Amino acid sequence: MPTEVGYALREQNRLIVEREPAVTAVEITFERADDPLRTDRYLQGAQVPYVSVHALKMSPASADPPDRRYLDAIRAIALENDAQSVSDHLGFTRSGDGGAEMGHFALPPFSEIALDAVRRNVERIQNYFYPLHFYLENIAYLFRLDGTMSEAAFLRRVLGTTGCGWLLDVTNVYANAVNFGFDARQFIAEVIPAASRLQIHLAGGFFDQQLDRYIDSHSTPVPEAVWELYQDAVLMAGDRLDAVFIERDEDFPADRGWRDEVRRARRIVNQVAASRAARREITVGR
Amino acid sequence: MKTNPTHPTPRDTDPFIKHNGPKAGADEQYRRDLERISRLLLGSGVTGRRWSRASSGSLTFEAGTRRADIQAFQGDTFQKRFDKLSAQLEFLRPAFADLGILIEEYISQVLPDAYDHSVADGDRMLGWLAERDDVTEEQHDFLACQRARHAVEELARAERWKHLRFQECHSVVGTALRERTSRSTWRIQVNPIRVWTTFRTRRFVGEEAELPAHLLFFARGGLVATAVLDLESQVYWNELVEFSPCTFVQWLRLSALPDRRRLLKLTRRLARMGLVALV
Repeated sequence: MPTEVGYALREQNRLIVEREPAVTAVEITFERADDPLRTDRYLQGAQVPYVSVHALKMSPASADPPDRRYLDAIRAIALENDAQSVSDHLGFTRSGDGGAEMGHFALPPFSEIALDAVRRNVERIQNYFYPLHFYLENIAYLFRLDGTMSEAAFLRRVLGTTGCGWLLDVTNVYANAVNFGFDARQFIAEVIPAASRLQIHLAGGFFDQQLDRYIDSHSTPVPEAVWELYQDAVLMAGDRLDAVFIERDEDFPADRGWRDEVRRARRIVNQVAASRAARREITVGR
Repeated sequence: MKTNPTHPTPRDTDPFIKHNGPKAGADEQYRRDLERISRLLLGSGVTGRRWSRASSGSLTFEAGTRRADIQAFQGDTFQKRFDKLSAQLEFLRPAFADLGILIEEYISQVLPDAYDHSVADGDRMLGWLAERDDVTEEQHDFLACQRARHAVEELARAERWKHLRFQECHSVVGTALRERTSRSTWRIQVNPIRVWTTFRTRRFVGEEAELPAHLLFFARGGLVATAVLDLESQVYWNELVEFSPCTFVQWLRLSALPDRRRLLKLTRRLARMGLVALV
């Protein structure tokens, strides 16, 4: 199947999503689409072959499973918009049942007990949404909790044992690598073999001099370093890469800016696919 | 749709039953640890005792974690909530000059609930504001107005299919109103997504209105609309709520004031407003 490329849908890029031929995929953020008064589908007239619903509060690393009503609401949006997949983040946004909502993801400790909780919740989520595919996203973080294994090992084990997809946020990997001094490419190379299928997120942030941290703010164009990492990731993912979504939440570009980024993302996917096909031909020719 | 050969098949058992196996003790510890960390991350600062408490226990921050990073997380969490509440409650600003300070106070006192959806936190803050001793009559009306809007949204969430069905029926009301021959067979459906509220001042109801004034808030398409019904119309409206769904002729027969011309006029008005659908 070809890799689809597009945007995380915002009101500011609706027209681009509807009119730009390079856009063949759309990611709907559930919390934005969750308007009980809405009478038409959130996608409105947009016709794209690949739709994914991205959630923020399943909190797969929490001790307790996600609330059934919350999942019901996500599924309703997914069905209304003919989505093929659902995704959320590897983190916790609350402690457990009845706990307070942080409104922001925190990284779980990379420990066996957290791994058990994540696996259990991911399996529940997958069973609930079947036959829609579920993808788990790696988050950007400013701190880590004490654990017994690396993030890459943790993620690899979650992906390997649950069979869920990896929503590889390339910018998050880049931000974490800058902030915590590891090799982003090596991280991706270490995790990617465990993923049965992939989606990719791309975004742009900025380096906060005062905090001395790279912040994944979704407020700037995708930086060159992330584009390079993306190209490597596309190459490593091979034909398991289902979709690529570019995220932008602030300082929105003009029409040209939107189009340039999505075209570049598609060009890279096409180039990698073409070179892979050429290599296959050479192999067969031999 | 792409196939997923590695995907597990759905289980017959309810996957939402809590884990009760031998690891339950460890799970409970994990739950308590996340609770402690979550509350710390929702706090407004990390200093002195809070930091040492956060840095002790079975789950702690990785060695070398900087307070500045925790504080940046807290600041971001606070700012997101503040911005969301400010946007949701912008309507109150003319009545609450210190709205920003009140939002800060609210955030410091009330934790957000798990799974809070779009207006839940804002609605909770309206309730929090309404309980203050110093709320003026006009401020009361601002709060009542915003709470009624939220109540309509909540009702639409709870009765989503009824809302969609009614709006679909109402979308063809123009055709029904033009067809003079079908009047007697009109089947009148009352909009299920509606909430009454009471105002104590004339701020939102005009200088002529009698006080207290009762306003009907209801869903119209994807928006919230309001209607002021005079006393006579309110009587008819209450009848209709009781009898609906019914045909126009049935209503005419059952009505305490069976004036065909007036009922017809009112039906047309209610239909144009979006309060009834004619099927």
